[in-house]
Amino acid sequence: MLSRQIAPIGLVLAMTVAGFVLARALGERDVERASKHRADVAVAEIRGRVAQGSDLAESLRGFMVDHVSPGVTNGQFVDIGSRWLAPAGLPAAAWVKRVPGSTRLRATLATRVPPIAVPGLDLGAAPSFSEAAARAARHPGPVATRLERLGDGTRGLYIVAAAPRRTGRKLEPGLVALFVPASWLLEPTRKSRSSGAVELRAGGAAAGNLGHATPVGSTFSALGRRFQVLVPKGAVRGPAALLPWIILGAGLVLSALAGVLGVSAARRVRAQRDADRIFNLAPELIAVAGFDGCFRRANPALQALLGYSEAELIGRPLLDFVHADDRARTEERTRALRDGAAQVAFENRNASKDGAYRWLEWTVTPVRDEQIIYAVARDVTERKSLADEQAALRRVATLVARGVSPAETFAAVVEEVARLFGAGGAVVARFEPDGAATVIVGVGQDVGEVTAGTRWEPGDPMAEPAGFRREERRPHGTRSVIGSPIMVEGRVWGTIVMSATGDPLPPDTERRMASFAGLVATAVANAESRAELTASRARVVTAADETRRRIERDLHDGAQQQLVSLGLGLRAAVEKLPPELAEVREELSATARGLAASAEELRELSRGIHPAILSAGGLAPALKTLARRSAVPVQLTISVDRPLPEHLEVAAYYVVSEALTNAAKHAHASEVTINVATEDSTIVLVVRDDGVGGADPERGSGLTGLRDRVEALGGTLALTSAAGEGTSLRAAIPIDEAEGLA
Amino acid sequence: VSAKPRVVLADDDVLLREGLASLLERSEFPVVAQAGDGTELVALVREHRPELVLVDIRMPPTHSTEGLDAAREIRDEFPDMGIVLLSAHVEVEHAMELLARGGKTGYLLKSRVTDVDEFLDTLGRVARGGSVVDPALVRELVDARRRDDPLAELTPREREVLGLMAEGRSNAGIGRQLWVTEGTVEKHVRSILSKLPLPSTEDDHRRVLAVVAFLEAR
Repeated sequence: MLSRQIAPIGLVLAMTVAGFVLARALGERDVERASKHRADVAVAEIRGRVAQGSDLAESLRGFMVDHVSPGVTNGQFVDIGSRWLAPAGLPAAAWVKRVPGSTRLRATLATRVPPIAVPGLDLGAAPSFSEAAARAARHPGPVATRLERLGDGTRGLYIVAAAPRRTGRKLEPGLVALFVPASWLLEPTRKSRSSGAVELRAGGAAAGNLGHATPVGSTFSALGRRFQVLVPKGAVRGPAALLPWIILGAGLVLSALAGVLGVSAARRVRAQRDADRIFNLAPELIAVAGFDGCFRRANPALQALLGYSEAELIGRPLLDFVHADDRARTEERTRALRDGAAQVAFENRNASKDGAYRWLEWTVTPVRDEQIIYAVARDVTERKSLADEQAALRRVATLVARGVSPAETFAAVVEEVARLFGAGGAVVARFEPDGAATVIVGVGQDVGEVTAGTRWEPGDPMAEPAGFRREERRPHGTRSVIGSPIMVEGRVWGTIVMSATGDPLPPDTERRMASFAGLVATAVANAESRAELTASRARVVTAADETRRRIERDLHDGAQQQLVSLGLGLRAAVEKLPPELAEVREELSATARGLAASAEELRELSRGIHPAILSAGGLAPALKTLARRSAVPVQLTISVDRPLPEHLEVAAYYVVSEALTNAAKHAHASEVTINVATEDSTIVLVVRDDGVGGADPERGSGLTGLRDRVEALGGTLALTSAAGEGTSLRAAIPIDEAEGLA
Repeated sequence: VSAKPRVVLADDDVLLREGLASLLERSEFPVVAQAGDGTELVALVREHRPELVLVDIRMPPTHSTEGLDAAREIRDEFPDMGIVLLSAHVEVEHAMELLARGGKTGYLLKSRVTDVDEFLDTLGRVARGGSVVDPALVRELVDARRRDDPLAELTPREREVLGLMAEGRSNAGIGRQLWVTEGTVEKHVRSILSKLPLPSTEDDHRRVLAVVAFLEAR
């Protein structure tokens, strides 16, 4: 991967370096060539001088040889020197005669200019002169000494040629020596300036100065000597010098560019690959759609969920898959996108290929420039159904907590169960002591032709107390029947049976149904305890009433009547006494009056123990009696439109009686208003006083007893008694229920 | 009306019934028959056509208002027969019920019978055509507390007079009771009639009924 990025960079770098080197080499080569050329020019120029010197030496030799008697004189030689040498620019020449028996070579004839200023000068002392003289003797042409530095500091060489001096017939051996200064040899090069600095080497010393420059040389051979001409190698200049750097710079820039491009390309590739992987591997459901609402892409998770391949989805509107009930909402939310929302989120149900709906939670983001919508969804079906179930349980639990009638709870349970599990039918049935089950309430047809009252005999598969699940294959799917027992206080009270046709119900269905069965059990247990409580209160109240009635009867018809009888008997006895026993008569009469007073007292005492009038006259006279006897004035309004059962009248009587007692005893009221009315199937009593209020409902047993009495009849008792605002007691007792329990 | 009003007596308490019978026998009220319950009473009344019926309200079988029911039946059948109800306790409704059905009616507490003279006087008044209401009942009616009570207009003496009117006493009777002259009573009665919305009537029964109804309804 890395190499793929580096390869182009490496290539560019290598080419750059190669180009750099090549450009450098080409520059060098051009300079080399130019330098060589300059050297060649210098060689040609120097060679020309050497040849000129050689010609002069030849001419001098010819002069010496051709000149006849009496031989060349010094004056002639000087003259020749000034005539021949001066125009050429050469300073000096000599004719040298070897001194016999010695190595000395004496300049016999001299031009008398340095370095041969004096005749007789020993040129043999000059470096390499002897060697050149020897070579000249053997050589037909002139030869040259090495280029040497002379004693006076000048550099030069001698061109030597064997030149005998003819004197008459006689030939005197000798040599002509022409001094050639190095400056003269280099003069043309200096003049032409074509070659710049030039250094000339010919053995010995070097002439000219190249300084520190790298020399480029060329050689030529002349006068039996090898001359080396050196010129400084020129620097590479101008575009040629810049070119390698331009190449190098450009190359580096290019490779850096290639690197950057490579990296970004790699990143793009990686990003694309990551995006693809996310799209393909994400458990989230991802759809790409056009602004027309049609699928452009669907990731595998979405395909799997909906059960369609991407090919089947592409081009189809997303809305096609949305549950009909959710479409309007979905459209409304997506319209917000059109109106400029940056993102919208919503939930809807989507149909998969098998027809089942899944709840999806969408987050939709538009990319307006590309007219594309990215929609990401999560499958929240489980959560939804859980929430659904929780809500259903809560609704039922609320009913139970409110203490509605079991029938109402059962009806709610079968509705919720049928809806929640998609059941075709659901019933609540109750087990009879014989093992049969009786349907109390049912919805749907799927459980069978069941209605309230349907009886499943013992042994009927439906009347299975342990709970059950039966599944059977049907043309339209599996028919599942599940029974969940309703356990009340450890016994199987009844069963919830539910039936659904379609996919087999999930394994946790029983567990979920059990929650509902539990609520039903609670409702039943509550109702039973409530009924028991009511019944027991009713029994207590009835027993108390019965006792009061008996006491009242015993007092009035028994004790009181007996006192009256005794009084009568006493009176009769008095009548029989003879008139003379006046004192006894009077005593007995007093006793009889005492008996009568006792009877009267007994009557007063027993008043109100039990309202005997209720037995015959009904509630209104009894209440009127209470009102008359009240210590506080009473405004009594009775609008009772029907005869009431006696126990209800008794209850009403005691409510009013107790309220009046309280109004007189505690409230310091100046008036009490009593309203008794039948409203629908309820009798409502309101006793309101204008007293001090602040009555504590917990205080005293009077109100508690009343509450027991009223609630025993399924009624309610409410006390309102804000301080300073009087006391109001309201009792409402259902008439029908009272009859039912009577 | 014979000098000795014949009486049919009904009470389930044999002891009391015998006591009453003996008292009446001794007091010029011949008891022609005795009954232990309402049905028997009605049969005996039809048989003997007495001038006066003395009946306990509460009798078998239910011990509630059998006596009242029988009295109602008798009243319908024999409008001129005197009927005295005996009750163990005050029940205004019962008294009103009986009074409303006609004169010659009495409503007494049982304990009243031990005051023999008063009791016999009461029976005599009923037999003679008057209506009588037990003083305890009247007291309950008069004592009942009312806001804006019309009785507040009356003087204490007038209240007394009103109560006695309710008991079924004539002006003369009231005068005797209060140790005043009948003329003084008449003056009080006129004053009462001017203060209260009561009709002026010479009929004893109507007066009782009107006063009791007024007291009950005020």
